[in-house]
Amino acid sequence: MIAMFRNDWARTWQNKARLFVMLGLILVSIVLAVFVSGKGNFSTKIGLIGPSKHEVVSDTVKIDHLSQEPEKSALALGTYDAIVDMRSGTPVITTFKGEEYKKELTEHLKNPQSIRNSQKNEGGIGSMIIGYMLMFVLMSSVTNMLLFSEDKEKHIMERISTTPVSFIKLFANYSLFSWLLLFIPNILILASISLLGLTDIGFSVSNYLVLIGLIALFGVSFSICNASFFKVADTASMLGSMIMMITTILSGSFFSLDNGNKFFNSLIHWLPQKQFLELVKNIEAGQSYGENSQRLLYLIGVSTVLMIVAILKTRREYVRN
Amino acid sequence: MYRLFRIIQRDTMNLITNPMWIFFSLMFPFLLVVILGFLTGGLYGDYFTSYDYYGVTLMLFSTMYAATFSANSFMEEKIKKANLRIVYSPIRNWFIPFSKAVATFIFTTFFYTIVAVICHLLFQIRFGDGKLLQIWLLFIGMNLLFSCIGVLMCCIFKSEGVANQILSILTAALAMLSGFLFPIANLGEAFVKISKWLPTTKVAQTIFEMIYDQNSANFSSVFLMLVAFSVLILAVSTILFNGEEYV
Amino acid sequence: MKPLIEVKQLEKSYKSKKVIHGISFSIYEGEILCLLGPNGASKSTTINILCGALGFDSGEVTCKGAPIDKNLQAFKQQLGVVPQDLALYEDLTAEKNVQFFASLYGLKGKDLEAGVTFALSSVGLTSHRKEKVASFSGGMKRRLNIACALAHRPALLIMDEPTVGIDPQSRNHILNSIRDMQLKGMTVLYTTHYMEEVEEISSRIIIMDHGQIIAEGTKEALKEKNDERKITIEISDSNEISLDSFYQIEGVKEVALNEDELLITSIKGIENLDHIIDKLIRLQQKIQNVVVQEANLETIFLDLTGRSLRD
Repeated sequence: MIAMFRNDWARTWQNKARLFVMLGLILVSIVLAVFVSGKGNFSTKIGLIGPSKHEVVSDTVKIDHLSQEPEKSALALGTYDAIVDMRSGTPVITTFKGEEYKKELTEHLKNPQSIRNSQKNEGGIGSMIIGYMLMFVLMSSVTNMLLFSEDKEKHIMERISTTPVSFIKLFANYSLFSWLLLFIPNILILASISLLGLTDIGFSVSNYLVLIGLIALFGVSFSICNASFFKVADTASMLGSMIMMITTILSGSFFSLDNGNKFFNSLIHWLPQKQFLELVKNIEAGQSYGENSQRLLYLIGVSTVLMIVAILKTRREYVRN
Repeated sequence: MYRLFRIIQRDTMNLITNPMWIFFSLMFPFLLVVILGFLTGGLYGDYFTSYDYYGVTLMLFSTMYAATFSANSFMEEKIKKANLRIVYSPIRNWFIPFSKAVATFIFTTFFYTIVAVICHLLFQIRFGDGKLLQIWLLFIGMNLLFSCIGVLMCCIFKSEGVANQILSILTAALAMLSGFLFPIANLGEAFVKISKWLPTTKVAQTIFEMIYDQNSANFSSVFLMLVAFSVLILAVSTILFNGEEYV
Repeated sequence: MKPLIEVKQLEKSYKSKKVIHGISFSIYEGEILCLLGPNGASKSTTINILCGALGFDSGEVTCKGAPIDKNLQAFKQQLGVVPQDLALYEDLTAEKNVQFFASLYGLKGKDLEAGVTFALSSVGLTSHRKEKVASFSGGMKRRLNIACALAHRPALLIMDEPTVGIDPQSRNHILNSIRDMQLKGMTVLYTTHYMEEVEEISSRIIIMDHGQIIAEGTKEALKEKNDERKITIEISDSNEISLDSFYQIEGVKEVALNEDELLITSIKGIENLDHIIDKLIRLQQKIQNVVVQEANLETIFLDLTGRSLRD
């Protein structure tokens, strides 16, 4: 297995440009997540025209005092969730959001303490950082599976399948290598930021070791399972990236997507990314890993199942009885 | 020009005869619009629905994936050797990267337009009836830009796999920062400031201004910006492309 | 014969490592020039320079007197290149493949049609023109690979190992096609590792090694220069013979016994044949038959380039 590992590293090192660009992208995504996330993040943004009777004090409501009505495109783009015109004395609300939001806002304007945090990203700094990093970590796991896809595409897998190496060992090698390629740069960068005291990263480095390790495990398992179904590397990469992107957004890694639809909310609840984000929030809130054992087991279980599917699929493809 | 035309024709046919690429170019934007439009329906109202938002932004996001198609048009394993045989022919070096960009542009424009029409019919997405042509031009301007970017990546990294690997993450990051996946204001002031600098954000902004404010003041400058960047990137690609390195 | 291509003092380096050391040679109109060399001899580099696909550091390459680098497009117009790797669109038919590559040489309309027909008939694929390449056997793909370089009737056809990995029937067909093309006036530059192909079709041979030309000439001339001979002597009683004693004769390189035949490899031609026969007589052997064979190209090649493995 060491020989296989060395071979994977030699192949990866041959493509230094790719390696360094990937590391650069990881660095940028972490820097954005750590230094930029959570700054001025409001759940609702209002443009207020005219004098306001109420002094709105809230860390979740952003109010911009405007001299004139902004264009409607500002509402479409989400720059403002609503425009409140107070020039006539009574608030005239213009919003592209639903009636329910309008009612809530009207209520708030009457009673500023009653605002509901409908879109606030729950959780602290650590949750926010991991939320922003999540999509990039998972998409990187898909693209890092290139070695496995290449081996299939260039018929090297046919050659490997004639050797005494078991498929379990083979997949363990691909997975471990990909996992390390994902885990090490992320942890090193986070640890460096923490050790240098540049900013608060929310969790301790040891917690990040567990959390990043866990999500990297899921990412690698999904990627290898995805790649095992396709002969062409590009197809696997495109489809895998697409799935990861959509499911990560749906899991609410950037903001909550609770639309009140119970059925879909329950479906989303079972997404591994959703379970992972819940775990992260709970750990940040002070719970132990033991208290979240079900989530941990779920994530490890899903990863294991994906890995088994990948091994069985590939073995069936290359070993005929 | 006959030879250039023949190469463009071949490259376009290589894309059109690949069922996987047709599937991706149709299903990728469509599924994105459907899934995100449906699931975020509750966050929007009756006048401006989630489909109105995602119909525009996710179509723009899909145009960014033209880069992946152009990388494949260039160096997908199945057609790479035949494509590179062209190096031996009596044609100008720049024909090769140029034709890949053009072929991708033709392919993606065609299929993305079909998807936009389907989405409009199914979900009544507002694409600005009065300014439809200009908005379509902005979409295809993005298409052209990213078709050229895909070719540039191939010329820099000399490998389609590497180009795709980098493009997929870069595209996702750019889409996120441009507000294509959700309003950028949700991420906070800092991200909004970063977003303002991106050309892709300007495109989305101009489109929404044209649809909801009937204001096309920025159309010319944004469209010209897209074309200028495309030409520049393509020029760099043709300079970087060296047939010698592929024989 | 007039030279079609002339190469003078050609030099090429890769990252400060010289791979071609000032080679000079000519390719004459109407000949089949075989370029041989072990792996790493810089044959492919030389071929790619002659294809106009690679630049060179110094020297001159002319086509009918005109330097190729001054007007590369015009030079390439006269070439047909058959790359070593199969460079075909598998999803297209044979006809469409040839059509496409022919169109890159400016063929259109009726000329294109005629060129495609000529190319496919030259390689015996006319009856398969509407079939997809993916359904072709390896031999058919190799033939189509050649056809894609023929439609525009090039003055010079450059073929880089065109018969790799195919059966003897397909190889035979390809070699016959090449001879036919030569008869029609085409000049061919051919590289291969199969000596029997060189024996069959070559007009002249160039042997390269380490970026230099180490031998040049017709196969007869090369064989003549090489003094090695295989002498087969049929004897009466092989049981009584001691092979070691023959090594004392000057010029004897190898001695072997195959039933009643004594096989001697001599590097001095037949100069020492009388000593060999003398020895046999002294050993009271009756000589039934003597056959002397010239060295074959493979032996010549190995003698010139050495027998050790190459990278």
